[in-house]
Amino acid sequence: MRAEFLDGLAELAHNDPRVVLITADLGFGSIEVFAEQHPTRFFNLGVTEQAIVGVATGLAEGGYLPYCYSIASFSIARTFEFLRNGPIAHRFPVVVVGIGPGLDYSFDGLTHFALEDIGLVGGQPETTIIAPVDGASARRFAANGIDHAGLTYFRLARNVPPSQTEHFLARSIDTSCLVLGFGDSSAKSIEISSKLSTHGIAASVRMVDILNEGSLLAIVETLIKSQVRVLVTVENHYVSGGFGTMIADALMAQNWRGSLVKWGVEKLPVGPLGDSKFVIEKYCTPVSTILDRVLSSVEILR
Amino acid sequence: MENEQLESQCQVVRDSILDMAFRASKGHVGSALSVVEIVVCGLSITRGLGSDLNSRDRFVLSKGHAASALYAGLLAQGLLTKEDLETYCVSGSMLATHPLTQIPGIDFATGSLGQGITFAVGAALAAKMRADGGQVFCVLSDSEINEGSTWESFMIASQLRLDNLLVALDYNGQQALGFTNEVLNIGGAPKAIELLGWNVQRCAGHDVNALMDSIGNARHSKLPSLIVCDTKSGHGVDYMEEKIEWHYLPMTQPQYESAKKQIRWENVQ
Repeated sequence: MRAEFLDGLAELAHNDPRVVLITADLGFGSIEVFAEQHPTRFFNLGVTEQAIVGVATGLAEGGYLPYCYSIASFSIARTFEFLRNGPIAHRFPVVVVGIGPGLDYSFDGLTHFALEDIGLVGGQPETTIIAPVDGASARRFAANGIDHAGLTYFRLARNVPPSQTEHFLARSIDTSCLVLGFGDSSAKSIEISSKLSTHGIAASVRMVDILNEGSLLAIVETLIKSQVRVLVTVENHYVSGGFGTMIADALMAQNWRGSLVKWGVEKLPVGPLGDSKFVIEKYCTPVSTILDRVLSSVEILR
Repeated sequence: MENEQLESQCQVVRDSILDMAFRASKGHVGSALSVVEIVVCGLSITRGLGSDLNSRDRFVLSKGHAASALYAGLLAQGLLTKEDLETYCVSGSMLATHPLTQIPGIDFATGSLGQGITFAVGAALAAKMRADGGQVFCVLSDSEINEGSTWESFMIASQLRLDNLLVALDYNGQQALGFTNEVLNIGGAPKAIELLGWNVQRCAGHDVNALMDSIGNARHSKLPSLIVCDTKSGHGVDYMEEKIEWHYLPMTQPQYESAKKQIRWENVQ
């Protein structure tokens, strides 16, 4: 996904002279395209994630549109105060590109896991999180550019196959149970839906790729209008404080009457590591638990 | 502007700092008195201060807790009024203990140490990319040398050869809870920064002539410049000078009256 994104960004930079790419010494094998096509607007400022955000803030104030590139965990958790006091507080257009959210860097362990990034910046005013569902989507987002002040955070998964799921706004929802995935969670969302189906529960699957105040309002409005009664949120993030929590807050504010079940990272992922499948099974909500909770919710709401 | 005019501006700034601090019963007086001359000289060379021109110079008070010195400096520059300063720390005012960008002449809201200098580096890079001759003047406290992001900034500015960046280091040897050589010894910092590729000078930080000479020298450098300004926290007020507690304490009425007498021009020379 990162290669497609950076290709799209290089394309954008041909049309938008404000675009500047700053890397914290990461992006081997993907970032070269931009560096070769736009050498005067590409900067490797070393392993200085905090300062890079400050530098980007100064560039944005001076009329540029800087993109800060690093691994997701270093991009948000380490830099949070610089983001809040910089582009967020000043409404300067700064873009953070975080690679490998959630448990994506499976074998690399906790230091490389971005498990609270949505929680940290998702609730910040006028902030947008964009989590493309696949590479093609990432390329489109990058090439289209950014049209708002403040912080934009791209949450880019590393290895995601082309999505087989539908966008949230693709068409109306015709089931009272909905599996709502965020970003790179389409495969898991389909798996959960299939599991529910084998137990007689029809559940549509829809994906969300933009998270901000406007998208939350649209999502909630659609869920209520569609009479969704059981909602399963799916995200590569701690179950607390992320996408599901933001959806829940927005739903409760509209007096939604239904049941919410969240799939995500349940436990501190310190211990045995393995490939993506292994760490998900080890540290995320078991699908069987989701099934039990949905069945229980259906019973209660009946 | 002649140096004599700058010195008279310093007098206005010192007076205003004391007035604001006493009226609001707020601290950070020592920190503000430490940078009076640095702020006045820095503002005097900042072209387009308070304008919306992108090509203007930027002034960044990285040590945001000395905001009252900046407000008083902006008064001397005609960007704030005496009435504005009277609202310092009054509910509803934009003039708080750390600066906000809603105030003319302030480009970045500081207060978290080690952040202002990162912005200053970005502003200097932006000016270089725009190729419009923009300069950036940044006031850094010596306690900010503790921050990792400050060192990140030193390295980045050097690597990018940002010769339009001038950092004035308020080298008063004090921080919130103690003297810097007792908290974290930064004695080797100027040499280390020079070794990182900066043009480093040292001058008497309360001497306007020395400061302006150093600023002039920095303008001829092809490297980012650091002026290590030897200063005293609470400069000009005997009971505040080099006293740790005056980082925080507000003044009593007798202390205020004493300070006002002491900072008269003839006494601070």
